[in-house]
Amino acid sequence: MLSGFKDLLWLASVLKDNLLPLVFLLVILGNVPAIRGRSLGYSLRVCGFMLLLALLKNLNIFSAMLLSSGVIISVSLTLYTPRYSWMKYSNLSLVPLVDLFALSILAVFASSRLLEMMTFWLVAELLGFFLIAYDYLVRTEKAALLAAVKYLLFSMIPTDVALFIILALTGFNEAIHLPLNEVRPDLTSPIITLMLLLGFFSKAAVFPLHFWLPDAHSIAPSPASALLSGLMVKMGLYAIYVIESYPLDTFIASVMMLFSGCLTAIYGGLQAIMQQDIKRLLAYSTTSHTATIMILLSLYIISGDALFVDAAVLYAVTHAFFKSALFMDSGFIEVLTHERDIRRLGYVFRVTTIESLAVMISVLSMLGMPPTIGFLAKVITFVSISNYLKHSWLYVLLLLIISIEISLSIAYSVRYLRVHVDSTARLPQGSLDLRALRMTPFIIALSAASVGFTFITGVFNQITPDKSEILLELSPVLVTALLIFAFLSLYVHEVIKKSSEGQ
Amino acid sequence: MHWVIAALPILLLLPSATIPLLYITTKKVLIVDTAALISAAFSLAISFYTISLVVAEGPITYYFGGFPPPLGITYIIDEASATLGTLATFSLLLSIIYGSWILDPKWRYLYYTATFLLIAGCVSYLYTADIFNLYVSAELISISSYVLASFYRGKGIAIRAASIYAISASLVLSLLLLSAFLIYGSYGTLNMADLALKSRDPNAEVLFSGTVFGDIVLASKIVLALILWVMLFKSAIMPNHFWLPGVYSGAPTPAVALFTASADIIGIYGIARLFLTVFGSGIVFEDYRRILMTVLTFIAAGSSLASATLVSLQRNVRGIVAYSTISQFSLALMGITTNINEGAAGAIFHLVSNSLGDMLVLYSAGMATALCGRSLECLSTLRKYKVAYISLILGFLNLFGIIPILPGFWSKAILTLAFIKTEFPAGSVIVLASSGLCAAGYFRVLISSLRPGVTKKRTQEEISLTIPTITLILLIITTLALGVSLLFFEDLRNFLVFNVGNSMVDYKRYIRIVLGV
Repeated sequence: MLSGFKDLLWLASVLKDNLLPLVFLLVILGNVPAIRGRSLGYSLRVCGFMLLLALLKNLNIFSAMLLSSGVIISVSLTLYTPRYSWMKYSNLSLVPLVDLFALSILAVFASSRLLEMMTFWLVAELLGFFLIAYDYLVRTEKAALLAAVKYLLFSMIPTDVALFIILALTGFNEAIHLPLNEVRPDLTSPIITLMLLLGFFSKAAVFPLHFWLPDAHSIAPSPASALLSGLMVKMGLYAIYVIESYPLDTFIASVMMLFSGCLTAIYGGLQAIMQQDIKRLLAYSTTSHTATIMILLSLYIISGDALFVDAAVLYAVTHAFFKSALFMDSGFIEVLTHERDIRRLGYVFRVTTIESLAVMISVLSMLGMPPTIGFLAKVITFVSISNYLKHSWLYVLLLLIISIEISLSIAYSVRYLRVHVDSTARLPQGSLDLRALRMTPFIIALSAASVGFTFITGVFNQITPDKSEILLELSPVLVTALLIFAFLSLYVHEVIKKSSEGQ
Repeated sequence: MHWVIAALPILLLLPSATIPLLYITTKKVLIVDTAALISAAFSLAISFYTISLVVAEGPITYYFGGFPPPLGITYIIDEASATLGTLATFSLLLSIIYGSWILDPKWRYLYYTATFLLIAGCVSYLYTADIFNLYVSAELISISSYVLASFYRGKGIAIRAASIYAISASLVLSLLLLSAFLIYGSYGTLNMADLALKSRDPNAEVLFSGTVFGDIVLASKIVLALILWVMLFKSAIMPNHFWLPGVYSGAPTPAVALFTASADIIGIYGIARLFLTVFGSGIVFEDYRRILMTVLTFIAAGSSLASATLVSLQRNVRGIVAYSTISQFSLALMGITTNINEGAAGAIFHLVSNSLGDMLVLYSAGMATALCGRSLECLSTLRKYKVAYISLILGFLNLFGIIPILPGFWSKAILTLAFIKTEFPAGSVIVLASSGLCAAGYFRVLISSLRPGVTKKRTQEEISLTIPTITLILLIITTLALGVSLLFFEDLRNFLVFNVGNSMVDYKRYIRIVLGV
């Protein structure tokens, strides 16, 4: 009896030490063709992703928050993708690709050693390539291959250069044995700093290596776009956060990050307004948002204030939630209506009011309304910058630029919402694929998560010692907001429903 | 037991003579196949024994006929030459196994003869410490490569490619002979260690060869320029690559796979040996050598990027392998021009990992060719044969080299390390940029193999796939074992980065070991 118990303990400790292989095993098992579309497969995959949460304890705030939000996004995607894949391609072969892609991105955030992180990073990039080229694979669409090659040359390779340089400077043995925060590669040479930043800019799609993103993210299948836009660009930001703790040429780093960040934040927003394709709109908005996060990270270099990191990570998590939800929504619209042009849509709310409402919540999160996580992100962003306003004119300028970025985001979110709610649009006759409605629960769940996540961010304050007290002070406001919000949602739902029934 | 190692080239020559005799007397293919297989396995075993001995006790020397250097021919087997020697014999074994499946039984004995000759030349080239012997080995390698390149003598394309290769290579190789004359005329010796000593200290006096008796500076300058061209030609660095794509598309699959691991690496090895060890740093005409190395860096970088760009334009696997090989060899060459341990080690190991990748791709694609045809669409046939399919994917991933459990990752990481150490970060950009450009071609192949395929012309019943599958399993195991042990064993990484590189760069040790001074 006792020995059996000991065995059990031993098993538990073995599992704890080898969690990542176990997670991979579960997800791969859940993808065995025979059970891929059955509930057993679903549950295995979901369990696999959820297990990753056990790794949270050893991480810093940046990776911990990205990992936990990533787990939520991956779980909704692993449930969403089979339906999307089946309806768009009449098979389920997209599912394992998307699952492994999600898993390798999450493993990057969960890695504790440089070589481990590099391995998963490179695997994730490879899978990303095949996901972008997926339409070429199944439908011989040349554009998909071109977008994938563009991604390969202008996103993968610059990042790989950066990673290999870090590996070379760290040393092979250190990269294998020492934790990420204990290695000290010397990145102070200006040219090295420049190359590393350019490499990670290319992943985060910030000027001058931003141009691959709109093609890649709009051509990939929607679940892949959700991961590419929601999580993969964050890998670039995370890497920049990691190298900020190593010795590097801070002047060049901060100047470059500020310059490129400001330029891309405005440029991406302007481009997003001009787009007619829903996925391209979302893709450009991604560059604009990552650039803003980049600005916050550069302020961390300049000031050394950890509040900027909090702001950046909250912003990143917000973006991950709403962008994944919106890309999932775009996939839903694509399957439902076979249409991606904003001007010819607008009747979606007549088909599914609840889903339209969920999308509105995601958009509100983008705009920073309480009680969404976007609100927290915006508050901390503005608070952190305002703290320094008297130090330099630079902060005033940045505040201005972020404000412009936000107003642009209002403009294009209104455009995006018109896809759903446009009272002048009429339902087209007979071309709707109503089976797509089976995809909506996961979009709704993910949108709800961007409200729910606000209330558990407090957990991360316990994880990291440098907690920001603003979060605690805000809790009564948030709870009140939640109540008002719930009431308002019900009201809006009624209004939309009535107007759609009027048709 | 050292004589066994030194006898490896002779042992390899033996089957090349006996196999035709065996076939003519017995007319039984099975006997010929078995004889070839046993000889190849035996030579591989000796190579493994050699490398283990080198790891345990350091470099091995052997004086032919007992004549002390610089009087007789000396073999020196150090970490780098033992590594590449093992690669050559390993590829010989695979090539023979695979050849016994794909080649016409009637002419197979000719193929075996040529391959044994080729590897005999290659091993002798790697081991020798004598310039004239180097030339003879290079000729041996070249002649057997012409034979292998024109093996399908009914095919116009093969004959044309082999003729271009043969005529140009013989012209270029005669320059190596001329260089040997020039060296002997000025230095009074052909022993490489002796040369290494006297190019650094012209007044040094060595027993038997005495001191130099000519203008070594002028002669060396001419010699270095000539030899550089020979070597660039042999390893097909652009713009001397014109012969390679034709040869790769006309020769039989096992021959091409053999070339990537033996005949074509000798140029890179030659440059490393002559420009790092013999005429390496510290020579009296150092400035000139520096200029050459700088020019070489530019040539290599340009060649690597240009051929990588051409990879994605190719219409079949052979073309992709040909241009990707040129690109990878150029990267190895760039590693050599860094002049440091890590660069030399990265270059040598890059040759190894590139050969493994090429072999995986060529052998698995060869199966598709046998089953269906050469076009890219035919690769989807492989999806039914898991081993071949995995090999194809592994091969391309290894060539791309970004997964740490594959050797390709480590060779690129070591090369990057070398560029970072010499404060030339642009080098690492070129390494990865050309990998990326190549990858565009690799992935196009992989994607076409994933597509729903064309109907097969032949079925599996007509053609047994056991032998190529065994070849591929052997290759997969070797590649993965090498990659994984590099990840887990610090000693192996250190051996690679320090010892292999050091055996090229440390000329003092080389002189001491060969000459004993």
